[in-house]
Formats: sequence, structure tokens, C-alpha cells
Amino acid sequence: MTTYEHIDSYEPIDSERKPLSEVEWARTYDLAHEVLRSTKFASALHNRASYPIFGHAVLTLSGKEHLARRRTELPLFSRENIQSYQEAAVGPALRGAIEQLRADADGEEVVVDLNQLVQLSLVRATAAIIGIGSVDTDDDAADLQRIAAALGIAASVEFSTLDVDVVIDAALQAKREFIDRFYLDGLRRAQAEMAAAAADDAAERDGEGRPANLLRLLLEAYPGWDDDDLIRECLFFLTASGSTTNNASPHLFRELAEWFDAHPEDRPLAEDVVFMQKAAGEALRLFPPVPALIRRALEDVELSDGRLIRRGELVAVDTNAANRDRDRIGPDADRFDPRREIGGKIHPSAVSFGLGPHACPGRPVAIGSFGRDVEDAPEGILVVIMQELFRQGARLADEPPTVREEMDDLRYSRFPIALPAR
Amino acid sequence: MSDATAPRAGGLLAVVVDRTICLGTGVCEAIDESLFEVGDDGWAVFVGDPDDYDEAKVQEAVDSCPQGAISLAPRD
Repeated sequence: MTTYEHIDSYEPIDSERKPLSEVEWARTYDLAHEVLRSTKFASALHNRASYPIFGHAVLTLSGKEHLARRRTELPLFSRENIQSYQEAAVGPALRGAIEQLRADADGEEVVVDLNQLVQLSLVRATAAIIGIGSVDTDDDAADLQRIAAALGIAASVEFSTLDVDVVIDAALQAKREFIDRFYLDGLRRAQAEMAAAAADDAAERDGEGRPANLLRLLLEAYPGWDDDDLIRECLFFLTASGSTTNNASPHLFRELAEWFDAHPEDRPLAEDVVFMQKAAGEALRLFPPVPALIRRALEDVELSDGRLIRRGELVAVDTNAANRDRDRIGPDADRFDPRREIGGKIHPSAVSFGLGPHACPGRPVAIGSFGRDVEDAPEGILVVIMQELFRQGARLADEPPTVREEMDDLRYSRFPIALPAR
Repeated sequence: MSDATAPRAGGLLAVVVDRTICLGTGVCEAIDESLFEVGDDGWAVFVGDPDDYDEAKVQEAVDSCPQGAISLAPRD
């Protein structure tokens, strides 16, 4: 039995009580690289207010415990599974939603919130990844989308001006709704599948063709976990798998639409997977999913710029600054350029998916694999969503988007796009 | 697709980096950059001497890769 059952609160260590404005920051690409790749720093995300929601999830772990959890979950990121997530997101979900909108518009141009369209598409893929049940109808998807949105706000509450207690209360309510509405069904199904597999070899063989899902993997690897352990890991995946693509979608759409207006000769490249993957990486570089990646020193560490980080103290990696470092990205680092060649071993999305042991294994799910000479490498959910939208003739709507004022980063609560009449 | 050292009868095992799952985290490179290097294309490659490498360091990389992308295989 674990020692962290039913966590409702968390008592931060002294260094974690400091506001982020008082901790040391790494603001260049090289310093970000140094801190994120170092084994002398442990992950220190979600060790504050959001601990009851995401505490002890894979992203928060370090060392051998992190490695073991990560390897347990790796089957989720096989090429076969990524392809199935893409199909779940873009197949019936996105195309079906667009068809329905057009049918309802009765021959008129449709203006739709891109955020909502993408979220409704993504939650079905997320449900497949986690292995939760009952996301068959639009109402199911809308409910899961609403839950994911509340959790997403909690995940970044440390970087917003919202009232922390209000946000965490809303996220805890969303957690309870997730349990009742989705988790328990998924758990029962996973347990039934495991029981059948144990009792009947044939049943096990039947299940071999199905994509792995998080709940099955966790139940098999961690039989001693209680529900709250399982739920927090599910909540982390629910948030992480959607938020990156969701936050990036309006930025990528806007940047690409403006790029194609300025470079009409490139418009056919919307069908070019590599071009679109590089565009997605570039948009994520300019607009990273989180403003900071936080680490805690496991021993006294002297950074290459001479600063001494004492054991237990925090360092925050400024993802915006590192991703726009002119010395490494180029003098036009603030500009979107899908044809950019960065070089120097820097990924097109720079540090947006992290680096080192905690580099996000979901990167290929979101934006595919770069430079791989693998025939069936995934395109990336963000890429195939954008391709579908441009294929449908989507353009920026005349009405302006709505910005989330509570965040320092540019994020949209509503981003209208127009789908032309057929 | 995998990147393996050239086979040799007997001796050390071949070091294999599975490019289909390598994420270029750089953990192997951080363990010993004379053995592993993350290229500009984003994946790790084994750059050590296939006939004379530090087995303990390579095993550490095998054990530490968060993607489980490095393995040791018998030579043909």
C-alpha cells in the first residue's frame, strides 16, 4: 500500500513557499539546456497548490521512480497507438463536427470557436489514451472538455493572477465529476478485461490488438495503488494530452493563415506534413505550453553563469525567453518562420516539451517526429487538425479573439475562425 | 529503424539505438558524450568504438534512457 493515499493538501518544503518571482531563473537556451538535462535537479512542478490534483504524477517524479513510471507508460506512445489517437481526434470527431456545423448553417458561412472545436476533437483521443469510458456522444465529449478545462486552469494556476483557492476548489470539483462520470466506468472495464485475460487465454489474445491504455498499464504495474493514485495520474494525462495542442492551436492557425497570406506560393504546403510539422514546432517555440519549468537542486550546483543554487532551492526555466534566445535561434527569434533551420541540436519547438529525462514523450503525439526516416512515423495530432481545417477552407474570422487576461502569456479563451459556405 | 554497431564475432555486444522511439532526451549523451551523441536530426547515435567501449557506461545509458531506446544485442 502506498503512503500517499487520498491527498487533499500538501505541505510545501521551505524553498517551495517562495513566490516564483524570488527564485533563480534560467533565461537563455543554454542555461535551460544545462538545468533540464542535469541529474542534479529534480522536477518540482505541481508541488504547490495543484498537488491534490496532480501530486505524484509522472511529471513530478525524479530518478529511478520517474524512470520506472515513465517506462510503464511508454506503450501509450507507440506509433500504432499514436495513429489511433490521431484517427480518434480527427476522424469522426473533427470532420463530423464540421459537417454538423455546416448542415446547421444551411449554406451560410460558419463562424466557430477554434478552441472549442479542437477540444471536442481532442477529448476523444484523450479518452482513448486514458481508457475511460462513455465518451460516445457530443454531450459526453462536452462534459469531459469542461472537466479538462477546469483542470488545465489549475495546472497553470501558479502562473496566473486568479485566486488560487477558487481555482483549486473548481479543479477538485472537476476531479469528483471525472470520477463519477468517466473514471469508474473505465476502471470497471479495465478490471473486467484483466480478469477475463487471467481466466481465459483466448480473451487475452482478443485484447492483444487493442491499443494500450493508461488505466490498464497502471493496474498491471502497480497493483498496490489506491484509486486516488490512479485518478491523479489520469488527471495529469487528461490535462497534459489536451492542453499543449489546445493552447497551440490558435497560435498555429493564426501564424499559418498570416504566413499563407504573405507567402501565397506556400499555401499548397498545408498538405506537406514536414512543412506543417515544422510550422507546429515553430508556433510551440513562440508560444510554449507553460511559462516555466521548475526544478529543485538535489545538491549545491554552480551554474555556468556563476550562480550558486543551494541544495533544496528552486530554479525556474523561462521557456519563453529560452525559446526566443537570439544567440541560439537567430536574430529574428521573435518571428514565426516555418522554413527556419535552427541547427545546433535544437529541436524546432526548442524547450517547449522540455529536455532531458523529463522531455515530454507526448511530443510525437502532438507534432509528429522530425527528421525520422521511418515510413509510418506519426504526423502529429496538431498537424492533422490544421491540415483538415485548411483543407476545409478555414480562415481567420472577422470578429477578434478573446484573450485570457489572467495569464501573463498570450492565451485565448475564444478564437473564432470562419468556415466558408459550401 | 535501428542504429547498431557493426557486428563482430565474439567480444562486446552491439549497442542498438531504436530510432523509432528515441526522443533525443540526451540522457545517454550526458552519461558519456564519447559514447552517445544526439545529432541535429534529433536522435541519439552510438559514437563509441564498437570493439572497445566502457561496458559499465553503456549499461548505465541502457538503464537510464527514459524512452528505453537503447539496448544491447548479440552480434550476428
